[in-house]
Amino acid sequence: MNGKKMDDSTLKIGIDLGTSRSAIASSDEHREWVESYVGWPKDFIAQKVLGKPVLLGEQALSNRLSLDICRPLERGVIKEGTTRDEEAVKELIRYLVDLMEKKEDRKVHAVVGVPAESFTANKLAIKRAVSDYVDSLMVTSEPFAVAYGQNLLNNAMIIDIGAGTVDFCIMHGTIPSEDDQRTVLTAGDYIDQQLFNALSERYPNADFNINMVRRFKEEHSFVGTAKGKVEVDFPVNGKMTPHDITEEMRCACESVVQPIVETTLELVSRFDPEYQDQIMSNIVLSGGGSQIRGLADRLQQSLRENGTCHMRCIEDTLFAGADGALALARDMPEEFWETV
Amino acid sequence: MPNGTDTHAPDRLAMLQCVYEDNRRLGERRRRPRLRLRLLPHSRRRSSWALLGITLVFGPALGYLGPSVLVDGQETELSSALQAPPPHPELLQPVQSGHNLTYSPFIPAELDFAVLAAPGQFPGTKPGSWSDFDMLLRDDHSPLTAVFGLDVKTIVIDPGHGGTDPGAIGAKGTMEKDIALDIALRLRDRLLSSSHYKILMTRDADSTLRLNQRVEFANENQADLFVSIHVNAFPDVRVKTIETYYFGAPPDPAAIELAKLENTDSQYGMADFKTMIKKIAHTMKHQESAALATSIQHSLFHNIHKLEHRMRNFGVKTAPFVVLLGVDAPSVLAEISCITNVDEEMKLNTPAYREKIASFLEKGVQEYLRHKQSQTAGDNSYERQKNG
Repeated sequence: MNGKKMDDSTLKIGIDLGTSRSAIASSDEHREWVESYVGWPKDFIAQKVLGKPVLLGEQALSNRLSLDICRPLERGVIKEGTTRDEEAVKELIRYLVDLMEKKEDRKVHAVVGVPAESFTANKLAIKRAVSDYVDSLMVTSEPFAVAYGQNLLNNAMIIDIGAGTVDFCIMHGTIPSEDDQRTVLTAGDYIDQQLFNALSERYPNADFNINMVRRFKEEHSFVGTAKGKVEVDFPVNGKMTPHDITEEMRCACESVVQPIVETTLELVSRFDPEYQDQIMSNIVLSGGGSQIRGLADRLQQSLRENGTCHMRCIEDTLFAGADGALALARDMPEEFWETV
Repeated sequence: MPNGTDTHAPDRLAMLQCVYEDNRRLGERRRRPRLRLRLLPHSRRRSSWALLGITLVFGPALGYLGPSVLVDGQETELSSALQAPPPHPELLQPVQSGHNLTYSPFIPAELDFAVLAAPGQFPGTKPGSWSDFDMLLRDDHSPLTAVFGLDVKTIVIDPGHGGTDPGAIGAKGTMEKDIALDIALRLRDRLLSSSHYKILMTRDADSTLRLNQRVEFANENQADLFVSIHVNAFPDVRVKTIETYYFGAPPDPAAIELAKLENTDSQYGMADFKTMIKKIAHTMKHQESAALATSIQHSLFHNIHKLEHRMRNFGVKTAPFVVLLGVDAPSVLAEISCITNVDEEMKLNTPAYREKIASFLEKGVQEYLRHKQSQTAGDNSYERQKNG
């Protein structure tokens, strides 16, 4: 990122391990992503039919009935003590690193972004999972990686709205401390659950599951005024039937507004008062959740009730974390890389 | 590269060095033996509850006669007879335990009644033959702190669990110890800025503390109030409640029968002076704990209920929690939410919600203190104000 001469003998990679999607970017200008699902065939027959010992991403999702499927990165981190989740993360990492098509003799140095308030145990679990596939690695806070990649290092705030967590991070020209960061769980999965509950209540005879609800959200999410009726199909007594879910969608998506506003204000209010205005004028939304239509405007509007606020969204949300981690990996001096 | 906004060109190398140092520290931790959190083996759990039971039975009794004795069951093995399951599991009461959504260990509540008569009940008295002393203890309108003009100077806040003891863990991995600590720190900051009391914390970081260490800390620092903060856990994940405890035996017919037996002789003389003093202390603690618990529960529930209508009020309860027993000062244990309810867990993870809970706790404590001050001053303006 800073134009430093690349060392061709080492492949630098940045990884964003997400609850919903994981992305990788390499110094070979190669970028890939995968849905964070891992599935193992339930039995011998399933393995024979599927022809693979493990399936990932979209493939795993579409064959989920034949699989023991796992979404290992709840809240963006591996649940402690769950060996299956650790195994699943290893499979994800292996899959992503293999996509980078590295040569046999080439070393791999990786930086992995983890949620801002990730506990040490989680960082260690991620380190364990990644270390089998790379020669040297570092973990860092996800929003810091985004800020680094976007060159938002001074007087800015990153709000990374993911599936499992919303990460907040204030940047003030130095590496953010714990006091500069927050993680809350009212993120994408929370919206899914709210929408699922609302639809179950309104349409008690309809058949749908949380995966379908997630797809509805990804296609139609919005806050504020609807652009039109949100109509989706799901079965009732075995027959696909159109349903109006406009109000349920609005309520579910708006359920995250207040926690984000309150956490932003709480975090900023603890910051040096001289700089609070500058931070509020430079808030950047990243992560899949930032794509909810109208969310940035609504957040900005709510925060403006307390003073200045300017908010914008990062354009390439899917790769912002991985790109930022790669930027860190590229800039990291060679002497800082230690063999795992 | 996207447009940046930093005008002062932050030192990138210093930042990279920090990332490196962070990872290096992580690597060092990794090389140390890992602490695994797990439940005690079944036999150890049984011995734990049995020892806690013994502590409850003999602890107060010894407290009446002299310095308190603390029984540490951590490394102790009991005989097989004592390790046997309790004879009447239906009479068991849950105690705070730092294990993952379990209800062990249990305390046999019926044993507890043997030494803990109802508040203000001096062993050896019976209704109809109350002395001045009995009247003093039983007067609900004049708490002993008001009678003796006692004031509050030091408040100890106790965040439950900590360190290797995570407390209850929610479905999303939220640990009770972290929530309790965060809210406790917020409560401390609030009380420090809004009052002149000395505020102490049993722990202000993620450290392991045994119950007896918490008790000793409060007593050594001459706590006048002790507030322990916990988050509830229920097998039924739909439940979301608030409840506040103070020390005492739960109401039970067995307690009444036992009290009747103990009230057979009302005569006591000068030799009972020491016991009477102990009784005054016990009664005072009981009265004040009940008042503090009521105030906290009222503030917590009524304010949270405005935000969440499905929140249920489990009210003020008595329970034989060891930490409430050992502390000399009036003490309460607030279960500020339910971590097993996913909605609540999500909300507990927002700093704003934790700040609100801390503010409601603060209101509860302040309300109690205001009420107490008005009683000590002998005026009834507070009551008039309260009653409109």
